[in-house]
Amino acid sequence: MRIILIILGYLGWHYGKAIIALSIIWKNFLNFIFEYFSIKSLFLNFFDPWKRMSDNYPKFFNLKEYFYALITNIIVRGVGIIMRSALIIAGLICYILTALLYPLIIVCWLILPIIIIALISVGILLIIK
Amino acid sequence: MTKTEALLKKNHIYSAIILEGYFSFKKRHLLINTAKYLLFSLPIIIILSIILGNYGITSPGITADFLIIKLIGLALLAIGIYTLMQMFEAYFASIYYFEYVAKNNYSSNDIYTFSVGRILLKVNNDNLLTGFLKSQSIGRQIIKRLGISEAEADTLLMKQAEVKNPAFFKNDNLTIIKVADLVKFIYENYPDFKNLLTNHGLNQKDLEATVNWVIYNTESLAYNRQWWAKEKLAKIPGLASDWSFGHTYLLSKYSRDLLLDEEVNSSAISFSSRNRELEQMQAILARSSGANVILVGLPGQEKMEVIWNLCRKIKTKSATLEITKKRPLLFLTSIFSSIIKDRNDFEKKLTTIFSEALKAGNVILVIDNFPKLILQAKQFELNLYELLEPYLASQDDQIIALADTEYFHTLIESDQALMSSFETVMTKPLLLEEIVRIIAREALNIEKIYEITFTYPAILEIAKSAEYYFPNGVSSDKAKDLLAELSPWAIEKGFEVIGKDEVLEYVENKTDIPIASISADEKNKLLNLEDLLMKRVIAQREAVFSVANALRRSRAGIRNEKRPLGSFLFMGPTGVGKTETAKALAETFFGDEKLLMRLDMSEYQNEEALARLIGSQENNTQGILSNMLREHPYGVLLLDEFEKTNKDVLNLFLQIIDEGYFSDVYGKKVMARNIMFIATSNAGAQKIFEIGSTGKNLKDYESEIIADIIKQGVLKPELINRFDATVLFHPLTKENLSEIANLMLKKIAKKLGEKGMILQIDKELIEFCAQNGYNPTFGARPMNRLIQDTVEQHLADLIIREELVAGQTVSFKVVKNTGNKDSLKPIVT
Repeated sequence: MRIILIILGYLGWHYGKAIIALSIIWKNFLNFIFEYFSIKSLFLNFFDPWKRMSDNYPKFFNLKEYFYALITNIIVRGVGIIMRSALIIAGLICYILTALLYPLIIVCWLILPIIIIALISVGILLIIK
Repeated sequence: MTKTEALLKKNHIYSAIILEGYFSFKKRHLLINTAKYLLFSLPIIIILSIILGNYGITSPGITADFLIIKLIGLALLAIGIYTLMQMFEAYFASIYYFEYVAKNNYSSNDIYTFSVGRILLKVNNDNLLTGFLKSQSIGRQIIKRLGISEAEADTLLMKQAEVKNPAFFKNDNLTIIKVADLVKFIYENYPDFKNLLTNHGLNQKDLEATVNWVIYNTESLAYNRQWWAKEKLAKIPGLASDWSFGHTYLLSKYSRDLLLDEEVNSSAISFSSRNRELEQMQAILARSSGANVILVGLPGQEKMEVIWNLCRKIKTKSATLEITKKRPLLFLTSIFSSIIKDRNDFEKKLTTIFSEALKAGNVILVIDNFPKLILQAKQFELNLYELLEPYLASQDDQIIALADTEYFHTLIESDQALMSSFETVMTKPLLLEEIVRIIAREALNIEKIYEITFTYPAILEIAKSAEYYFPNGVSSDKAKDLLAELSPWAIEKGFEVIGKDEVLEYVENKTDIPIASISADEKNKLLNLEDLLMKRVIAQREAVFSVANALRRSRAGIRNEKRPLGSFLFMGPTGVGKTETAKALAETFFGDEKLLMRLDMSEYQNEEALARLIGSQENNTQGILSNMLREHPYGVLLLDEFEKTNKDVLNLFLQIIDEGYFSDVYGKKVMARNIMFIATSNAGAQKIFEIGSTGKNLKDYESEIIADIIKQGVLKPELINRFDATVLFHPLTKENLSEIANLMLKKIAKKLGEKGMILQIDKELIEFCAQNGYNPTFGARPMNRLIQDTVEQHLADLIIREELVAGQTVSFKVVKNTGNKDSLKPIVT
């Protein structure tokens, strides 16, 4: 009687609450990837100079120095854009892959009890055969 | 169906609880590990089988193919069991309700928590106590932590079979039952359990704290396994979190990233015990400008605890928005100071560091020792405020300056310009319960290292002793240190379970203050203290009874622990036994006359008296009294001629006697709570002598004598009232003097006896000493001199002339000299 209760209780969880819990965990992972690759912050600061490295423009008009600062600032911003773009792309790929993995995981989860029964049964059969 | 079964079945986690009964955590992990090892070793076995098969080395009837099939079967079985157990793990992790360590995930139809379910499953005949005592993972853990033995718990369990109609929850509409609720119910409704705890000196509060500790331990293990939890993932730093912020090249040389500290990254669940300070600090740091804080506290880790709490908030992304992406850097003043060459170097480097912090845009600069930086600037004749003003006023800079309380008051508080740029946050001392909670958590880590177990009473005693016996520093730091020191000592002594007694034993060893349980010898001494003292002190019953009672109160643990061991004012004429009583006490109870510390207060009359006693910053000297009490925290302090000292010193002793401690000139606490103060005074001696000589009871005139002393302005009433007792010493009678003479002569006889010689003490000799050694002004004091000049001198001459040798007896005959004083003549036989 207790065994039946345990099995029913477990299966109730496996096909009910566990699916919801899995979805929450998956959401956590997706949020984590978003945060880990700092995607939002990279977008917000997309055109910022790389690590705030910038040259100050001259206080009094000096064409040479002005152009020197301008070129430097364009370069550091360029570097920033390239680095950020690379990381945004990598982050988005990871994000999409993780999101796509979810249905697969759910399918695996749904058939897991059957797989386990199969593994144990076949294993025992092979041993005693 | 029993009431327990009905309650158990009401909750949807019932099946999980039954399953856990079959597959406990230990069993699950044993199966997981076995399957893992099997899976790792199977490929090797399969390869070996193939190799052996190729060489034909197999047992008859067993082919390589046969073996491989069996091994594949074993592998599939191992994978199946491994996966099944992991699914069970997920199952339990999903429905495990945290009661204490993290946000719970109860639903409205939950009736009890998982831990309560474990206990209920073991209940017999609806007796909740049986379930509690039988549950190894919860109940027995609590019992062990309470310092109660397994045998006692077993006896209690057996006794439960006799209990009829045990108490059970009556309310059907209970809100979720937690372990703390269940244990509280058992404590209130099962008298046997309550009695057991009471016999161990434990109350409901101790029980609650122990339950919380055990649940914390159990749940933190479960919580730490949940690596997928949102707050755990949030702790992993982002790849590009600092790409939009500047580099701090020079600052990085002299600082440490606090987000990388072990205290911030540790997986242990942290309970913030300094929420008030944390909230204040976050509010200040959230300001648009002038977001600078001075965090003030006692020397030690106290201030850093607040900073680490802040860092943990930042790391788990639960801090306020304004600081959520910030990087707290701890500027290490000592390293910075050590490399500074001159004024220019100081100025240049410091401004560069602050500029970098400002330009980086994400730095919260935490200065570990702000007063040191101010002092160094002063040394280079610089004003630190002027140097830092542009940064302090900036909108982007956030600075947290740490300062010790003492330096804050002397160095910073008076600087109005500096104070206007900072908001002050004072760290408050932690409450005992908070310290206990910190120590209890720390103890769990230490237990893993040393393989020992701390009981809750031990933890409580560590927290109390750290505060009581070690006066200086932050209480939580001191308690942590005590815990750390205690563990290797316990291992050395062979203790596996550390209870209150073991803690007291260690503290007693460390401080030389007797606090452990009273030994038989000591018990005997305490009970017969009056008799022991009166062997040395003649005719002063009242004084002897007062000090004996005070000591008994102290050792029984019922005295006021925030005051000295005892404080007595002995008043009376000279030579009546005031000092002798103090000496006798030091010798008989404290074990050694050397434990009598003495200050002749007539030497502390001038203006420098106080500085001599508590130290002087001007002369950079330590105080005589501070050193004395630090070196000997336990004993008798005799304050001779107390009334002769000056007003400041009297006020100092007023505080010491009232509060049991004082602060030396450097602000360090000096404890006097294990000292017995005996102040002697000749104030009112004449009146005492006059009343005493008439044979009247001095006690009847005590208030009159004291009123006279106050009237004369010798001692203030508030000071006299602070003493535990004012004892009037009687003038000595002729009989008393004979007794004193006898005592003194016996001392000499004892010394002679050690050399094998015998001193015969007869009535004639005693009378001679009593008559000639008494002086109405000096009491029995001249008797010592008389015995020295007569008896001791004769004996010395005889010994040197070898006229008195071992085995011989010496006696004295009184020679009457007409017109002159009588003298003594030794007779050797």
